[in-house]
Amino acid sequence: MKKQFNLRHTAMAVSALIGLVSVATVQTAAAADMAKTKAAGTYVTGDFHNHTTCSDGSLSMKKLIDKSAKTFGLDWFVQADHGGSSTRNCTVSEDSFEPVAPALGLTNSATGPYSSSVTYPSGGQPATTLKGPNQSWESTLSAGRAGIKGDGTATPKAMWRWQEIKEFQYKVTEDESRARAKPIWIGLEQNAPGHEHVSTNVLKGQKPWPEAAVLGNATLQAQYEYCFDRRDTDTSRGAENQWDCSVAGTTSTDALDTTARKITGTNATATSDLGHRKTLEGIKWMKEKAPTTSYFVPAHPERAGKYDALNNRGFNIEHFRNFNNTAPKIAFGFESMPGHQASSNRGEYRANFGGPGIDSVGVGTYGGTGIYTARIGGVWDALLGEGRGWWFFASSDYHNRGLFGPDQLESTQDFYPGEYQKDYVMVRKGSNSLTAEGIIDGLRSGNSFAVSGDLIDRLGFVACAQPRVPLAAFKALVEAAASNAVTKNAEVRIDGCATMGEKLVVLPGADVVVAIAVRDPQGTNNSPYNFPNPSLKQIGITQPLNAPVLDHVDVIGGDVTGYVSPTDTTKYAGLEGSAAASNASAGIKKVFNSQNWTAAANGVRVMSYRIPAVKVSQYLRLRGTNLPAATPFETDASGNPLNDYELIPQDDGVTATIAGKVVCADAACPAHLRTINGVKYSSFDVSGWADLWFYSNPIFIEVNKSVKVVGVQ
Amino acid sequence: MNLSRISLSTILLAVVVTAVITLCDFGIDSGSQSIVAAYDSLANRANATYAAPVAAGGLTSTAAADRFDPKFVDLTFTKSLASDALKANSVALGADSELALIPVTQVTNPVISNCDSKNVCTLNATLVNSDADITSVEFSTKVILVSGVFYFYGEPFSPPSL
Repeated sequence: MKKQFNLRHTAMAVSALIGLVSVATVQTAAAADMAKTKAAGTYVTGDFHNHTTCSDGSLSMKKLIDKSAKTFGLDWFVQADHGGSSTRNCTVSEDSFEPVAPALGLTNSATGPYSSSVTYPSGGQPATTLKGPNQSWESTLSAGRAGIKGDGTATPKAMWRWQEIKEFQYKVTEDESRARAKPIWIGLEQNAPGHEHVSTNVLKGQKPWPEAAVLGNATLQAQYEYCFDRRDTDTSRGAENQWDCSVAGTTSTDALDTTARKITGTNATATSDLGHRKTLEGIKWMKEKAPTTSYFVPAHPERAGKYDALNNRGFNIEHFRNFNNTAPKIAFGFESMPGHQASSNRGEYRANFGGPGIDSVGVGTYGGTGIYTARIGGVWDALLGEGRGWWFFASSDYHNRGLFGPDQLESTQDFYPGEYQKDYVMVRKGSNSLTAEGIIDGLRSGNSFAVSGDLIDRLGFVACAQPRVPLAAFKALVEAAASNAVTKNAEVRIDGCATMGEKLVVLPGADVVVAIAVRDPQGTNNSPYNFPNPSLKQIGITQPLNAPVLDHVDVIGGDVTGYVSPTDTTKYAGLEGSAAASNASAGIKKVFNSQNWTAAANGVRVMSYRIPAVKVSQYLRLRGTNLPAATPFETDASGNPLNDYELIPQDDGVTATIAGKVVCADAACPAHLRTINGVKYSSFDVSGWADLWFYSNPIFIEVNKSVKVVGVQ
Repeated sequence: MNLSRISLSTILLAVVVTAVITLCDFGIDSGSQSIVAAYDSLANRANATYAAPVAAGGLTSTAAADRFDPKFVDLTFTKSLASDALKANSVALGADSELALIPVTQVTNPVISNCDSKNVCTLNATLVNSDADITSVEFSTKVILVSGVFYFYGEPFSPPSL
């Protein structure tokens, strides 16, 4: 007979079994402790590196912010022009629209180089030359030339960037922030002494939404520009500000110019590291003035080539290490997925970037990402292999759309913030609103990922110490947790699990379950093109260029062997490809695709695997793409991105003569593509939309009593 | 030793043991009250394990390891590995405050069925964690009834995707 059991007994027995095993066999540290105390958070999108007419951009502050926060819907935005000085007033809005054809130099919209295959906004294009934000400070300030703190005798007179930031740009930024109810504030793309560019920010003093409606200030940001931007040659101490750039306790104080109160010397044979030293002083200054509300993130770090102190170019791995060692909570990553993704040379990376023989490191980008990150086992893996908290970011670096107007959808130069690239950053709002401080905390935490072309818009990535029994049940639990996190646009908060930017501490021999959930958004992205992706067309796949599909996800991992001492010069300093800049243990640990992930109708893909018997400290990171392995000219047999510069080499001729590699044969392929003998080649924005990637930041796994992962705060 | 964490886990276990008490049907042709006794025995031994001070060897006690059938294997995880893990954790917990514990996962709605001639049965249940974000999943595994006591039997033929 069948007996009805009191289930109490069954429940007690099973609970006891599993409960015992859970308590007794799982070992975690930081992550386990953190889960209970972590406020609920969400991933928010933003960008922190773009330009206006206050430096070398083409738009006003208002229009760029409108494009970023409204048109492309970013949740937060940091305006960051170059340092130095400039003549144009970016706080003036665009004039009324002009008819499009005259603005483009066309007699009418049916003629000219674009024929009828480009978009023409019905309202025309903003006026450009000497109108709107292209007017000078001198012609638009009530005090005229006398109101400009700058130098030189040229007309119009250039204004120091510190004055622009402090007296003019900041108020526009804060007003726009309040009007849009989004954190929008001002930063600086620093011309870093000794190097090229760095996205920097000193938030302290600024009061973007949701701060109380009392005007804040960007005085510290302005002072940082005066003190540490290479192109700011002002020696007035910021006129009435009388700034002093000294940093307490530093050994470089003796290098300060007695008048300017900043380091004003130049790199020379005798002082070849002066620029780099000055840059480090800037990081120390941030640490002193705004230790939790500053950041320092090298931009397009491969573009200018290897480090050249005398010519202020480039970054080698030792510089990233120096930056991070100086202030790990301020210098915590790089923008290795650069902007300018629609440029003739993707990312503006190319041969001879800095003059004859001075190529970008890696020459081109690789799937739109610099070689420092794109090459497995390269610079980024070397830094992660130390256990450093060094994170990956993307930026749009918007200046203009090349041959196209700002309201056209095509581009031969840049994409707007949020149009093509996004940084997704975990922000713990709790019961409060999204804040600028919370966003900087999120950037610093490493709990973020970067995406191009909306390839994915949600990610749950977690590693959990496995209770071992029963394996199938725990695997299912962690997969479900990752999937739930994606549904909520949140993270997994389970004790004993770590997500991006965190570490999981386990005993030697422990098993770890890694679960990943991504959402491949349904519908179309911001691409204006619906003809088949020419790169995929090569391999017989017909997929609209504006409706990409995630093809696969790679789990990349490597061993953590500990920090390298600066005194160990062989391991500390070196060029890309050297022992110092390599991690030989790094590799693709797992590949997930439609064959081994679970796909839901809403685009969520869930996958997991077990790492048995972990014996060494290590890290895991993700990348994914719409391109299968061995897509000609795009990916190699292992799925690694190939050099974009090879796909569409540099062609400086007025009339193109150098063919690309991938033909764009569809009748809808736009006229602005590189065309030779009537054959159009995938190039400019089309090649960008064809080749999409995402990169996650890493999860560290620390084996107890083994190599410590110390870079995670 | 992080006794506060141990205590918390113990409390959670206790909560589990009481919280999952629900009534539902499960089909096993037990034929007598001896099955009930088997469950009672198992639960009592588990509670005894946790009632003992950890420092006194609760985690490394014979009872702690004696939840697994000698033939137990879950993928590559055997009873001996389980015992080794228990001992290693016990030592580590006492030596390193950085190590933390995973709270007890709760099992609800258990149903045991499909017992074969060797008293190997299928356990179907719901696994629920007790963290800030709660997740629950259905799962299935094997248990074995030996001399009036249930043990985990494992999944010796677990799919390779694990």
